[in-house]
Amino acid sequence: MISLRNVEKFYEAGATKNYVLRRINLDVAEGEFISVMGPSGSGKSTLLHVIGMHDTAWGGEYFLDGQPVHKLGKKERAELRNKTIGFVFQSYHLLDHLTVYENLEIPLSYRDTAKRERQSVVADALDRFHIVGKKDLYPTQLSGGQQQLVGVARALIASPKLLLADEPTGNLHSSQGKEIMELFKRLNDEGTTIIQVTHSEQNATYGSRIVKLEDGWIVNN
Amino acid sequence: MSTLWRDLRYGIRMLGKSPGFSAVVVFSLALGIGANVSIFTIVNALLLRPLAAARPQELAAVYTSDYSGPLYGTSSYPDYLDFRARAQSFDGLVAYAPHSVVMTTNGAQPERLQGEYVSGNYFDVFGVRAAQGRTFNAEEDREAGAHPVVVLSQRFWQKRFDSAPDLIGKQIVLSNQSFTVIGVAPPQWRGMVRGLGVDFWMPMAMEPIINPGSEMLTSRGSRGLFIMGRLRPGVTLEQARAEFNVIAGQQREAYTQQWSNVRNEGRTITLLPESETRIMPQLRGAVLGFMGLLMAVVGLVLAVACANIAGLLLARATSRRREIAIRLALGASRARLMRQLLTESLLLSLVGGALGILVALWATDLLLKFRPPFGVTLALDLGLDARVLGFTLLTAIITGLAFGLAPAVQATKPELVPALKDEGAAGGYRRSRLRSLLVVAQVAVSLLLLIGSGLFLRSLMNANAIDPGFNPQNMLLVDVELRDYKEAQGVSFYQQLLERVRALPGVSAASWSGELPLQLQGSRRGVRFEGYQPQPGEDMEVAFSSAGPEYFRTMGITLLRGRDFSERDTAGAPGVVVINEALARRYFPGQDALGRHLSISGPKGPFLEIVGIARDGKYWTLGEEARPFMTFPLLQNYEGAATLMIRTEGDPQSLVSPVRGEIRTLDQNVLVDSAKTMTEHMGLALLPARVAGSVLGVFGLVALVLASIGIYGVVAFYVGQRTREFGIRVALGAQAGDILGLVLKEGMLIVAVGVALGLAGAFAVTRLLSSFLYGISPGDPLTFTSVSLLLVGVALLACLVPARRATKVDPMVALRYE
Repeated sequence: MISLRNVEKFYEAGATKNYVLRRINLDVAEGEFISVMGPSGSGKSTLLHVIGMHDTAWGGEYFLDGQPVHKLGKKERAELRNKTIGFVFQSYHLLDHLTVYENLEIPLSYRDTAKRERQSVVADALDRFHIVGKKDLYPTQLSGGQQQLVGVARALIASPKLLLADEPTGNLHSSQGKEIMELFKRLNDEGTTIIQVTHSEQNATYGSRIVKLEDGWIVNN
Repeated sequence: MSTLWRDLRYGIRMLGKSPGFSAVVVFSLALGIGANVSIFTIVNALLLRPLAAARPQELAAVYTSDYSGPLYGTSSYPDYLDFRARAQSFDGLVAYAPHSVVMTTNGAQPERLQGEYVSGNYFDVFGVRAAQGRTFNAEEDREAGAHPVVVLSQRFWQKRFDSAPDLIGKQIVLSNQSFTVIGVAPPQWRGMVRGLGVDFWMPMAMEPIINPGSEMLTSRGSRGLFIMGRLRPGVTLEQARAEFNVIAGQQREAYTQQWSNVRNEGRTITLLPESETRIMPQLRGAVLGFMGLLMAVVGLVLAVACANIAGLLLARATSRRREIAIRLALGASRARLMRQLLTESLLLSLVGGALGILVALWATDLLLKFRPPFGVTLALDLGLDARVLGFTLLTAIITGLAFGLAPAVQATKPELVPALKDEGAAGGYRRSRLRSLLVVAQVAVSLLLLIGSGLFLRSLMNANAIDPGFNPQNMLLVDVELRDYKEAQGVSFYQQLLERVRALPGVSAASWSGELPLQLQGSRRGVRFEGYQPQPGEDMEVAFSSAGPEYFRTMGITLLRGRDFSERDTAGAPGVVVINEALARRYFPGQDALGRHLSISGPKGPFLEIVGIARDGKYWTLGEEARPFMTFPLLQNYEGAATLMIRTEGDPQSLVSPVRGEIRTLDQNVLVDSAKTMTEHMGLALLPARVAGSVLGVFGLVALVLASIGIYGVVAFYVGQRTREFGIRVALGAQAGDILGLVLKEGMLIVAVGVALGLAGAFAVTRLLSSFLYGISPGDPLTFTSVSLLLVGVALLACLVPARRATKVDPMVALRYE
């Protein structure tokens, strides 16, 4: 599903280049659940954002679902991303001024989904994640675990094939973290490909494979 | 549609979440848009709104050129009748002439009314139907004095008669003649002179009854009528113009003397469409220029408000950086987000526009309460109409886009990854630079407006110091009108009243003036001078006035040669005149003008002897160059209205009541129009400078307040962004003064650039004002320096508040916070 070939990213500081990612070669098959691990500053999050197409300034080749991302224009990348990828953030990143319902609805509205269909999809998601009773609450009225649950529900709302999660349990206490990881496991069992960045060895065990990064290099794959 | 609705709903919610921000923005917009709508309402009322006649696009005005040349002169009644008989291109031609009468009612003070003499077809041709009763029929304008009927204006009927339903058919007394009220005009019909209130209309055939001895209806030389007509269906204005060219030729052939101008060429007839005659054509250029200047000034104020709000939105965009990044990460396109941000801006500007209408209604209401020192009522229709509402909507939309676009563009291109990782803003400097540029622009524009205002205020001070050629202190002016007096009676009244007033305690001198100086305009008449041969086409019209005995002594005007007028300069005595130095220099160069003669009745005389030469003074405006001027004795050149001029020993106001008492003793039906001091009267001459100074001053201050908010915002934002840095600096040993200096430097650098640009702009623009300024150069260093210092002072205060906050940063809190 994903194939990265010699992907590199660096920041220029005067005449020198500080590499964040070095010659990354990585293949991810459909249905895999990969955990990316490594010390702080090793390039984990950067790799995730490159795969998630939030970061566009990199070199090398990147194929997603058969499409050469490195050759696509801005608009095509956005279309491919909207069709294929859902993203879960460490800090949840829910929109504070929108209710739970509206937070779930917003990715659909950006994909020009018709109103009736939006209502039906959001209702299903609320039901599936057992948050129907919270639909009119604002994010600040939820616990951290509940917020991340909404974050995951929102990432999945447009039925992406690939779920990217950047330390999804980083801000949660252990029991909430466990719930989220079990949810990921279930989703993966249902067919969603997942790549998560994590510091936790325990969370990594939920995945099928671990990719370790150090100083921008993949040191074990 | 549903996404627009969602954007709108979300926008309302976002603005509701930050009420302080929304209130500041809406308030600024209400001021900025309100100022623009106020001025546009006046432009609309003066220039854009068509005459309230049926099908105004079919109307055209007919002007006969003046003797001295200008194209848009008035016409005589015999000419009007000729035009009416010959012009085939018009369905109907009407004539009208503004005039005033005195209404007397039993037991009440006489009142002055403004009205129009009109031809009998006036209302029919304009397609105006009476709201009550009826309008004139053709019969009522046929025979002089036969039909004393009058139609009242709606406003006058409401104000003076409490909208009495039974007034139709009743009598009112105008200039001692009884008139039957036959109708009331509809409210939208306010007469032909835009901006001035009309109380009544009467048939032109009544004019000789109101003004006995007047030749208006009989003399081809008496030109006081305005003419307007309705073009026949299918006839173009060009065709009508061609026809009137022929008519002008025929008139010249038939009446060569009356149809020749100063160059002995034929007079011309000019036709203009109604749309170009809403303001008298000779004033149109000046009015357009003044209104254009006002629109530019309020446009600048709105631009300052926009820059200010754009600055606030940019600051807000920084705090919404995370939200925007999440939306982009969730799949929103940039266009979509820009649309949402612009929806919020437009929402703000539309609310601001709605409140701006309220500001405009308040401002225009205030304007209508203003009583200009002309003795007339302002009656502009300053109501809202589709044009004003359309202008407001358009202004609000353009404003919303203007202040919303740059922040929307900036906000929707955040660096996504750092924003999502909750890292500090990279590229923040670029954003704050745009904000700084906006504040620079605000400072520059405020300085420009304030310098303009400062120049006018200094000019006003200079104007007050201009020597008008007479002593304006301790002088009371009382306007008296003797409408129904024969000449002998009037002269006797003038003489008797002068005797009585001179005998009042506190009066040191008194005289009469036929036309007060410094009324912004005056009268001129053709003159022949003994021994002076005019060049072909030379303008031989000279400004003049008439005055009573001891006029020059009363006014404090120095007589260089000869004598003042005396009680003996009456109709039976030899004709005399006093001239000024400028006249003597021009028409009697190198000669002694005293004892020489001039004629105002053509080359054959009678000739008047020059008995005095007065020092040059200011006659029409304070800014004028010395103009030739002559003064005739009022008792030899009788006028039914004159101003009593009283030189007092103490406060002139204390004599108002005794003088009115003396007038009533002589005749209680004499209309005393107004009593004012000479310094009050001179306010009229200073009105243009005062209006310009006040307008620029008010708008300049509004711009300064907005710019101060902008400076404060930028500096406060800068302090907020660098709290951690200040904490570290303090931890490393920086003193409060170091931090204060750092912040002030940042703020005042922006101010300095703005001031430099504002000064450069002001140097370029104020040159355009030079013709309006008295005794001051448009680049006056004192004004430029003092206004700049004022602005820098205010800006320093605006910087000081956040700068002091920066000095109070607790390093522990600041570092922990990060």
